[in-house]
Amino acid sequence: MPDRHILVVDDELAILKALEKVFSRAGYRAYSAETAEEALGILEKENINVMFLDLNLPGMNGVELCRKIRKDRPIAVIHAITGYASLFELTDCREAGFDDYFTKPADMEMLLTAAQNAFEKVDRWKKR
Amino acid sequence: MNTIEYEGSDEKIINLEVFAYPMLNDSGNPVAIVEYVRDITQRKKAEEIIQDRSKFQGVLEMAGAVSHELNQPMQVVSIISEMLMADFKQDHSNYENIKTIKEQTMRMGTITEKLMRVTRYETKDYLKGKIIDIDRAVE
Repeated sequence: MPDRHILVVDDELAILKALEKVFSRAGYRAYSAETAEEALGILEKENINVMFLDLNLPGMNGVELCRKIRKDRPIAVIHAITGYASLFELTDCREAGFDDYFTKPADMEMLLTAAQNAFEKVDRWKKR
Repeated sequence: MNTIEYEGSDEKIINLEVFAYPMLNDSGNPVAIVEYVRDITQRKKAEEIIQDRSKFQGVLEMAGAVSHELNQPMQVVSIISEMLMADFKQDHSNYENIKTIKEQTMRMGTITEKLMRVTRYETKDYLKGKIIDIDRAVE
């Protein structure tokens, strides 16, 4: 799919590869990063507006990464995927600019639906 | 110094600290024993509350760590089993096995979700000991 690019960030390589496969099989171009810093490097070069970020990353965490991305990409649809859910964390995520929040193990169908909905939103916003 | 439990006439248990020491005469021989008793029931209750809170804090931290760590490999297994289910026809000999892997992974996810929502210290009997009852310990 042209310009259907997704960024996935997770420090667990097995999860990263699994998510890459899920999105690639569905026809998306999946970019992956193991750290927030690597993700920011990718975003400097590629036009990506749909993202799935792990929260617990080495170095800069996923919440901080979202804050940074949100400053430059107000229309990006950014999802959090985390291995630990708490109300406190969910509040932090919303304040940082996350659009949605998934707890692992997240259903593949749920992630694909989230990606599809995200692209529909971005397309709609771009037309304004 | 000794601590003892004493059941009063009202059948309530009180905790007492008992101190005793001899009074000696000029020759160093004991001529009397001084004994005094202190009611430490409230202090003991406060100590038990602190201990329970400490145990509970430990339970919460362990539950969070276990949930977080288990959810990572479960995410991989869940995704891969779903991809296999999408690749195999339902009448394939291994379809039901893969479906079972997916279902049991989601069941494990439900368990770790309960662990993350533990809000109080509730236990149940397990063999000769006790374990946290994660069904009663959640809000």
